[in-house]
Amino acid sequence: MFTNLRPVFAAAAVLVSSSLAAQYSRSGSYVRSIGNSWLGGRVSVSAALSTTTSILTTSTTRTSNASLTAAVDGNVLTHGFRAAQLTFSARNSVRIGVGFGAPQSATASFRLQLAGYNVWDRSVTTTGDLGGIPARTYSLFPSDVHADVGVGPFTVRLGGNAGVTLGAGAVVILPTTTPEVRLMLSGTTAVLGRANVSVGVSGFRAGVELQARFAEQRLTVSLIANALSGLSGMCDYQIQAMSLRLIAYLEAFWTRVYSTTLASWASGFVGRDLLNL
Amino acid sequence: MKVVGAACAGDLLSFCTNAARRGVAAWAVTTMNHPRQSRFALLASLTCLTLACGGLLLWTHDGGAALPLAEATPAQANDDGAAGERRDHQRLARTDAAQHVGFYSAAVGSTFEYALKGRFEYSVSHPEGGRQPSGMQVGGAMDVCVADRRDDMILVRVELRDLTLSALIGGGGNDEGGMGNAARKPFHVQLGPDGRVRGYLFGTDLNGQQRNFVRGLFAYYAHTVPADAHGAWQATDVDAAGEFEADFRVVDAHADGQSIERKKQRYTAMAGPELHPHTLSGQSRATFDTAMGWLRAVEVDERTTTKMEELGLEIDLRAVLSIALQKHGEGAPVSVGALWDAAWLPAAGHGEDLTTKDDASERATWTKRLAGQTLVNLIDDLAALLAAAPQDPEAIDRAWQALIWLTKLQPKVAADIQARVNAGMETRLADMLVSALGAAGTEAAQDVLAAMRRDAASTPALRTSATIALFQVAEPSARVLGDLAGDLGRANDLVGDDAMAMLLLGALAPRAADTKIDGRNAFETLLALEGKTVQQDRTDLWLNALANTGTADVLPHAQRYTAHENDRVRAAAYAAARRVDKPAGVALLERGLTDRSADVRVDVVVALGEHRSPAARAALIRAARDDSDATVRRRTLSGLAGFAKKNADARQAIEQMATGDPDADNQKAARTVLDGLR
Repeated sequence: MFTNLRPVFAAAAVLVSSSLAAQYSRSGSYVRSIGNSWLGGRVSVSAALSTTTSILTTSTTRTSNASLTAAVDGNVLTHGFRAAQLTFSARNSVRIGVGFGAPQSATASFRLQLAGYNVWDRSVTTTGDLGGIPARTYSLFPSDVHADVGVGPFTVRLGGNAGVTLGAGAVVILPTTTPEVRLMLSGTTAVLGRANVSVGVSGFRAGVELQARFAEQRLTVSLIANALSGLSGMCDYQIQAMSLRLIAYLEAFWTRVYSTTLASWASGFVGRDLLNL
Repeated sequence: MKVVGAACAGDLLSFCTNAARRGVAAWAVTTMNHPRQSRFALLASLTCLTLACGGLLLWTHDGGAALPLAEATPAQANDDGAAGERRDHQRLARTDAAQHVGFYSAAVGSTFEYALKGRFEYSVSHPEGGRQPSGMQVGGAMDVCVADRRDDMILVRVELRDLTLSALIGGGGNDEGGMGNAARKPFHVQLGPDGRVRGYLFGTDLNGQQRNFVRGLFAYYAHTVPADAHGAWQATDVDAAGEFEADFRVVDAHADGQSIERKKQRYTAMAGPELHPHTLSGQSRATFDTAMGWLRAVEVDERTTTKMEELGLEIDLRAVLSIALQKHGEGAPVSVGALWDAAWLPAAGHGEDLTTKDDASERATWTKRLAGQTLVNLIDDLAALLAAAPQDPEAIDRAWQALIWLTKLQPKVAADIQARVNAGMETRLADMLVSALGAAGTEAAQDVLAAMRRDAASTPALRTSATIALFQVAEPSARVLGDLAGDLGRANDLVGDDAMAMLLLGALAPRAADTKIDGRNAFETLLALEGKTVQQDRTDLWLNALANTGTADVLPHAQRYTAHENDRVRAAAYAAARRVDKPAGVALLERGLTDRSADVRVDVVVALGEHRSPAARAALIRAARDDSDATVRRRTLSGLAGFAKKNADARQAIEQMATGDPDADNQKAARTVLDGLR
């Protein structure tokens, strides 16, 4: 008896689950490396907007998404670290029609990492100021990192640290009854890595000092993802020239008696619209 | 009467066995050069050995008991030069009840006083910048005393007496690192019967660099030579820099001794994460005195060139050292029995902890640099730099470093900074001063920051600034931890500064050692806040605070939330493993790659990008290739870029995305990454 109903159940299942989905998305990203594992780093930024419309027989769900991640990785004397990271994500989903659960689901979160630590973490489920921190400089490692090597009775001292500047703030608008995410965000980062390589004993040292100046970047974002009207806005990204310099010095009586730039690497200024809609 | 008899018998035994030993040694040498003469030497040796055995039997029959070595009649130290040395040695040898074979056979109590003179020329070079030379001369005396023997080990006491260090060329300064002082302190060395250094016992007040300096000097002196050494051979040995392979050969052999040449070939182990390319040249020559049973002289002319390829640097060291015997005698008996059981340090120095936190030399350097500077001067300098256009980030950083060190060196500076900031100043300048307090991390600076966090009269921005500054503190004080725990306990709504306080507690927990807050350590305090965060729907914040600890201890707690209904909580649960670069951490993140939510998987691949293990790399490659969501695949690029310079698989994964990913944006992003890697 039940076997006769099987096609009916199957048809109903097909009817209920039958959906029409449409997705629109735009994304942009940039990744750049400089130097090497002893001194250098990498910047990466990625932004994406998308909307999805799912039409079921009983309801239509429209969802808007916005996400953005900007990260700065650094290397000082083979010690790798995430100097700074900014992560934003938002979703606003509105369902029209019959269905289970709330008709709207909205959430946005904004996290900042500094020197590998989460320092800011705010989530909202409605329109709100996600806050942030003003730009200021921090010492990356609580104590300098070292990669000392013995040569004969002496130690080739390799020590370094970095100053990281991070500042960012964000505001998100998650309108009620409208599947839209509006984001306004700005962020700046900079890293100044320092490393010393010297040999000898204190008071009788020769060495070089290395400086890595990189990840001076500025991110300005004003984006709208609306599942009804589409995607708009811009995500502007600028990064200043990155440079690494080696400076030789000779230490005498606790002062560097002379110094000379040994080598430098540099990349040019980059300004790019990750998203321009 | 018995004592005299015993001493005499001991002397006779010692004399004859020593003569026999010298005869055997002479026979060994002459056999190589003059086979005919060798038969006479061997015959003489055997005769002496027979007499010695006879004497021993007679004495034993008389009922005498052998005296401990330390009770044997000490020979007088002799100042008469070489001839005197030889006579002295004979007296010494007669007191030695246990004879030893090999090149290091001197009796317990033997003392050797050497003149030590040399220079160390070193330089740091760069192909474009040329060579930065420096160096020092070393001089003084080295006293070596055979303090004890046990089984196949020799315990010697060494003192680098009157050691002086002076500038060789340029860069001359005082030895303000205290290397000379450290080196002048007596130390003990365990040697094998072949002279191989087995371990060191230094004064407890020496730091790693000082221990290695002493280790390095002694390693030039000590030469490992097996008892049956002849011709040429290869062997491994150790010194301050690490473990090396060397060629040895007998360069001069005669009845009185032999000279051994050692040429270091290569290091097989050095300090650091990798074995730096290096070349070794030159040699050392050790001259042994067979009769004395010890080293007579060492001449060193060695060169080590170490390349640090990724920095484009070359470190060159030439060591020229002469160690020549001046006197030989017997010192006063020393009780060293307890030393054998002491905590001996390894013979090789590459495992030494060469870092000295906030070490004395760094403090001394900054003390001199900041002489005459005041807080007002330094603040004015920084203010001027911040106001300049265009700004000079390096100069700003230097000025900021100076403020950090002034705070470290002068405890009252922290309170002065607080007063000045409270009085009002430009925002960025104030923020940098507050941040300098955190970077200095002194008790006084922490007290000021703790007060600032809770100062109701202060601006919210300044309170936030103080909280963020505390993330830099290396050793958080009990007051700071107690304040954080108290604030979190009272917080009704975990947002803003209270949310930041929880994140700060996570960051400081692993640095807080065993500091207790109401009977709990910092990590336990953080764990105890779980219920509160669950109540406030801030479990993700708690998990993010756990992530800040960066330890594997967080994994079981994060694991419990990987099935949570809320995407944010699951994402935070997986991200708690982002700083746990261990198999268990990667395993948790790998599970996250199968999460139903693409948003969660994005956070997972971003977290994997912070790892450096091959397992994390493989997981990223899989996600880049197989994940169904374009955004997830694209977010793997940043992590893969970190591996791609050294790993072909990671680079190939990016190349595949650049050409084969179904999403056009992903292809474009991958091409951008490949451009950035060039």
